Amino acid sequence: MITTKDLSIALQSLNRARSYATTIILTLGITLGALVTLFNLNYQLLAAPLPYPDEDRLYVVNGNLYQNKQLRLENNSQYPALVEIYKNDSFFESSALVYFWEDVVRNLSGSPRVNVSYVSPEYLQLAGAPLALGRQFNTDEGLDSRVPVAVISYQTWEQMFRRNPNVLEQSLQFGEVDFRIVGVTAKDFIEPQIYKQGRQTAVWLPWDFNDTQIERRNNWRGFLPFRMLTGKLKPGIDPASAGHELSTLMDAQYQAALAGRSSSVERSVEYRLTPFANKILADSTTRTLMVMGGTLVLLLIACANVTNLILSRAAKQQRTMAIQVALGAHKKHIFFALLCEIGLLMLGAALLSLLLALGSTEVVKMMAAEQIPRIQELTLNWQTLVFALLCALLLALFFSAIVSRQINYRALNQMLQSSGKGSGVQISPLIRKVLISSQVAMTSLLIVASLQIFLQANRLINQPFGFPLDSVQVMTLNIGNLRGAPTAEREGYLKAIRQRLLEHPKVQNASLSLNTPISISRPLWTTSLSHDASRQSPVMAKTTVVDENYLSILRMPLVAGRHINAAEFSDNNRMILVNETLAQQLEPSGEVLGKRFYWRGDRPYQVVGVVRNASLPGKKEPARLFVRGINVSYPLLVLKHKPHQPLSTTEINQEFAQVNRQYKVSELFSLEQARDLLLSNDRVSVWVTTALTIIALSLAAIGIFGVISYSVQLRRTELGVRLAIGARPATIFYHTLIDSLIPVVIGIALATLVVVPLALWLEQSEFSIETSLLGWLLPPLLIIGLTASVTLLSVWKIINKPAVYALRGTG
Amino acid sequence: MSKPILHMAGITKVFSTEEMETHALRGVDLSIYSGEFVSICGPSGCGKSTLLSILGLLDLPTSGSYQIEGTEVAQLTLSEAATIRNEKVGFIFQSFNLIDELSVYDNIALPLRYRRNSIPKSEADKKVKHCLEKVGMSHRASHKPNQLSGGQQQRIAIARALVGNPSLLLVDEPTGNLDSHNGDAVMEMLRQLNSEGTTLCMVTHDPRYADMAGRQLHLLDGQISAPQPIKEPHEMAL
Ligand SMILES: Nc1ncnc2c1ncn2[C@@H]1O[C@H](COP(=O)(O)OP(=O)(O)OP(=O)(O)O)[C@@H](O)[C@H]1O
Ligand SMILES: [Mg+2]
Repeated sequence: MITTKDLSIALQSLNRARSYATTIILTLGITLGALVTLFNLNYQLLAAPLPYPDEDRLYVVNGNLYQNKQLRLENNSQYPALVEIYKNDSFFESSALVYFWEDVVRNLSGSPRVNVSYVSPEYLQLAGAPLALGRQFNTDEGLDSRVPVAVISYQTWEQMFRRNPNVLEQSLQFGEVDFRIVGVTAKDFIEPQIYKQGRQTAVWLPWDFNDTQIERRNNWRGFLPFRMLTGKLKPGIDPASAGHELSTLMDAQYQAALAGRSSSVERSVEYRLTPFANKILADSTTRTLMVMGGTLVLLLIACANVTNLILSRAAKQQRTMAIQVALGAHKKHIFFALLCEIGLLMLGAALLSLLLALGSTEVVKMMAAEQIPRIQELTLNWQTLVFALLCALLLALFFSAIVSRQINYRALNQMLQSSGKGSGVQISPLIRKVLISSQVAMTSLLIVASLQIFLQANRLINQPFGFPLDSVQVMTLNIGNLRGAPTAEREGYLKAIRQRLLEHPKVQNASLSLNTPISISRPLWTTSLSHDASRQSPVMAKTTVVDENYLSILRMPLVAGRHINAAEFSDNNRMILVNETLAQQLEPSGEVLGKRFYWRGDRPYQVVGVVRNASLPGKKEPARLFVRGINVSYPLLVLKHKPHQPLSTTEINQEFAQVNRQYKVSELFSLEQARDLLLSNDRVSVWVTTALTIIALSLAAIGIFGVISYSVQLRRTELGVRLAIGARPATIFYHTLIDSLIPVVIGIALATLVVVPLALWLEQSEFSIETSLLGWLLPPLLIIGLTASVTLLSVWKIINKPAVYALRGTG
Repeated sequence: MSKPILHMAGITKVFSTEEMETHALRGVDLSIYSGEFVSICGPSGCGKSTLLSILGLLDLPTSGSYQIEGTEVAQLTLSEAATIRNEKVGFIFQSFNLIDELSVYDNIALPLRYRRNSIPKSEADKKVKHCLEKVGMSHRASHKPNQLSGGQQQRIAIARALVGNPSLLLVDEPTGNLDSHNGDAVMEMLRQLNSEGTTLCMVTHDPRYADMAGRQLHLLDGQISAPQPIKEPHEMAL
């Protein structure tokens, strides 16, 4: 067996070949490091249990609305239904109401907007939230108790209170209520992000204080987003059948509430149980698994490089091996010596890979916190450690086996006898060709895939939106305790606010609205338009209330008709604008100008203009409806500011304060920021695919250069002879290039065999990935160009000197 | 006397390495006439192979003038040198230098393949077959070089050197790797070629073979020591 002596001999011999050892450890260490990082990430996502007690029994309950058996609203629940399920104890061991919202803290300077979650006391228990200070909510603070207490997150404590130990004596003001802080969650508490990836709660408040209006709380006909129920199923209860039973119960209530209203539409509700894990992961693992596939291919490309290096070294060590054989070494001795050396190298690579994985995991955590779920939990698992070492072991066995096969032990025996003449051991031409072909095939595959994703993402990133994005800021307004004030009064305030802003030196124009085509946190409001008062076959549309300035600030052009003007706004005119998609859906001809449709109430609205479709990246433009009006409960302001002079939250709040101190900026963003957020996934894709392509190409370049320069070195004398009998340098280059290109072309052909069926499948599959010609042609051209340069580099020393130098290579 | 096909004046060759400079040739003046058989001898390391390399444009001189058939060739580009090598010079090496992967036929045909103005296939075939016949190896055309004996390989090398009708045949120790029997046969073949009009310049250690040449040059420390009177080709010793 292998002894420590063998190991120390191997170490010494590697020490003498330091650049060889370094190259191998770096090549494999870096690529294995990438693979290990992604293994760790995917393991975390797919296999590691969620860090919550009985995580496999935790479910989210959300409502879906069906109209004529078609899904109309997803993840929107009836408020009373959630409360009823909460009170029903036949399915859940424990359940909790939760509502994800945001609000501004009024008693802190700058009135910061924070993520607020309204919860019943069980929520933090279900999540097993450990505390740094104080306590969780207790049962006295449950439903209908209206005790104003708050639990804050560790980050909030850190950022807003500078970790003041007396924070428990302080309070936070939301609206007109002061909430006494009773607890701070521990630093290591990772909130289950069941609502939205990357959203972290800053403050938990009791459910009672959520902003749902009183009349809506008992309305079975209203469907509301952001509110859901979470619960731990009793052991042995099947989630599907629980969902079924709950749906039946809730639908009965819904039908009762609908009773007496004549409608041709058949409506029903469904409440479904979704495991926490599914909610948290969503569909994020497709991409992380794809990137892991990419890194695996990188590792394989690197393996081809290393095979070449190890074989060349074995070829060089022939004489030493021959002497060992002559001195009585057996085949297995030679094999073990090889294994020792290779094993040490692989161990080095594995350690380096773990070190890199440790570092890159931190980088991934920083860069992709918004894109990848559960990323805060990420650390190197012991499973990852085992994976890295296992990879190293497999690689060591693989390389040793390959080298051992290449060594002809019988030839070794004869080598010394024939006075070192005869060709001994070289890397056989076949192996050289296989190395190049396989490397090229893998590189082509990886680059084709990367390039297609890159081009797709890049196309999205550079796609124009259909309207300019510069110099426009959007803000949502928090209205504090004005929630209960009369509509006319709130409308007056908003108009005054707009007027004040117009007088601000940086502001060019302002519009009161409900949403913009690019929305950040607000889901779009969906309503329907019908051709007749009976509301048969309604057409659904994303709806925005607008004033007369909206379209001109957003610079959304009209394709027909006109905008509603200021005078008409003040009247009670029933006028609407539609976008091209909606026009098409209302009338297949698209001719809707002047036509009347039923929206709300019993009098029709007339279409006065058709707005050109926006084109949001990667999304089909939905039907959009623009109705005149002011939303006084969830107001939104669109500001056109002077070029490069955006307003700050403080500046805007100062203006608001002049009108009414209750108005605060909740969220402020520019359209450009909204776009960047929308495209952040695509930017990550561009980043990852560029990195993969560059690494793959560099590895392939190094590998192909290694093999080709080795072949050229072996052919040195032969090329010298050819030069001597009158071959011109260009001719030599040309013939060498043809020789090198044969395995390259074979590799490209192999890749094509894999890629073409895959592409055909992808094009007709649901992914409907648009492939581009450039994406197909560029990789082979790149690789052929690479081979040409690498060949030139290899033969340069031969063809750029008088023939005699190559000829003398014999001696 | 006929015109010299090549003329060298003041040719020097310096090899510079990091540690030292080696003056392999220190001012060689030499003319070779059409149809001549010149032998070059001298002690090991005196610069014989270097001189032959420069004569055959395998290497460039450090200084001096070199004309082949009246054209200055001392400072040609590598590519131009290759063309001249291909058209005007034939080489025969001590170690044969055949290409193992190619058949005997293809080895011989190689110089024709590298011709700038390509030769029609049938004509090339005729030339190759003619040369094969000349060296008596027609029956081995499809063999690979390593299936042949040393003497046979050298004959193939001679055929390859002849196939392009060179004005000058450069030969570096053609018998060095051969036993005396094969060596004699090869020398006899060379002598025969010369008598048919081929100009020959040969480096050899063997005084017997050197004597076969019409003119013997002695190289000593990179200089030609004793220029010999030029005999007319037909006066050559047998
Ligand atoms: N590439 C080179 N670099 C440095 N020195 C060289 C080189 N080639 C030849 N020399 C030197 O030039 C001198 C002449 O070498 P050359 O090969 O011409 O000798 P030679 O007369 O052919 O010897 P031999 O009879 O042993 O073949 C020698 O001293 C040799 O060491
Ligand atoms: Mg010599």
